[in-house]
Amino acid sequence: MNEDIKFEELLKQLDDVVKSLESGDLSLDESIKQYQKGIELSNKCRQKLETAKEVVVKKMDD
Amino acid sequence: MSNDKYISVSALNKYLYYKFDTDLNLKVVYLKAEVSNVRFSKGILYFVLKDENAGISAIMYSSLMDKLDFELEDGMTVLVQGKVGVYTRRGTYSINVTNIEQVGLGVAYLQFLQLKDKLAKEGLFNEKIKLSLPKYPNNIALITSGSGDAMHDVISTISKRYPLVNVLLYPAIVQGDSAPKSVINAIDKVHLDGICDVIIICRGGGSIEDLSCFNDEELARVIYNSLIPTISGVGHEADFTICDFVASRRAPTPTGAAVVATPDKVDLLRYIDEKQVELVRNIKNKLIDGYNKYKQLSDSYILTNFRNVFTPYEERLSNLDKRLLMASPNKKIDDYGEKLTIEMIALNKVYIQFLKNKENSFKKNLDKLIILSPLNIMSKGYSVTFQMDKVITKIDDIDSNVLLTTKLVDGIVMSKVISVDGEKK
Repeated sequence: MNEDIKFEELLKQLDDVVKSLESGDLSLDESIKQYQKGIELSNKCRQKLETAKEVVVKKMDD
Repeated sequence: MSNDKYISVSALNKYLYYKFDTDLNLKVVYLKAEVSNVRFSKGILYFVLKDENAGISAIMYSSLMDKLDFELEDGMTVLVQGKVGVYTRRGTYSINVTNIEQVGLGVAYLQFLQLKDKLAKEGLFNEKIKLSLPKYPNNIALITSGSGDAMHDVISTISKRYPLVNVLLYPAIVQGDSAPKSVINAIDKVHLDGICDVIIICRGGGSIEDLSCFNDEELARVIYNSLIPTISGVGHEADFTICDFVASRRAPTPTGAAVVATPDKVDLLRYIDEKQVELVRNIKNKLIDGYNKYKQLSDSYILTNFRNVFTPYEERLSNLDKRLLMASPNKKIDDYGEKLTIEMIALNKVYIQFLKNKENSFKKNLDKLIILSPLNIMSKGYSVTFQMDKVITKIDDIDSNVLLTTKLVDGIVMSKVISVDGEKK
């Protein structure tokens, strides 16, 4: 999974995956694929949050 | 150097306390002043009494406060009676209010109300047109003093809540006459840089005068026109400025602004956990559904009684088999075989009879032959005479010079011709 994807985008993808699974329109194979993707995404989100220690502060005066 | 002339701070403050306490002019003081910076803590009301040029700290006990027929508010003009005393621990002095009456609202406060009213009428505070804050900001512009506690409060709060975001500090003067222009410049620069998706404008607590730069009309309009959503967090919970009303969101304090600007990590982790639980539950349901469908199918009549599907065919087949067997030429072949065997036996019989007959007739002929055989005749005394292997039957056949060979039944006799004498006929 791409490291550069923003947290919000990851979270949205996770939400989409859950929604698509909830819709029940997917085949079982596709469901399992989506499930795995969802678990990856949620782990990724959690990891992003837990590994970030402090905000980057940048002074913008000229 | 002798230390004798040096006294302790405590001693000085105690002396001043004594001086204040014994001064008759300070025992009962009457003041007309504007109230500002009202705050309540542990049963005591703290505020500042001021005029255009000066201020004095004031305290009032809640027992007195409860008797008032009005709420003490910033900007009020009041008539106060009280005693001035020294707080020795801090070396400050204040007036302990024993009586207070409301006169009217202060000038600064009136101006504030007028501006507020004007901007409200223009629609600058209209909630409907306010920009909404990004749920997950990427870059937060922080406009505040580069040295104040407010900055540290905001950064540490954001760090705790949502460390994925970058904070870009746009330092500004947040107190005094130059403050509005400084904040406006910072807002302009944020727009110019175009990096941030939300702006926090904040400063820590202070007197109403300290915060008054956030009541600047021009600043209010710049905030109103900002293309990036703004959060104001000025002073304390009780402090309201024009900035607060015009910003996209008002937060009670700088820390509050940081909270408003960011989602909470704990909530997010919980949200992610919930999503994961949902994922697991969903896939579980899917699998259970799938299994149930499979079970339903595998339990279906057609599968469990699969053999039964063939039963009619099997019956038909076996029926046909029987009929085929009945109709088979084998029977005929067998029948013909039997007939053939009978014929063969009959044929054999005939043939054997035929052979027997032949044998019989042969035997008869053989007997005849035996009877007629020369040997048989010879055994009765007849013989055969040859000359040069030629049977002699007539006298004319004889050559007198050649030996005669006579064959008897049991041997051969050689003889010479002595005479030949023909018989008379």
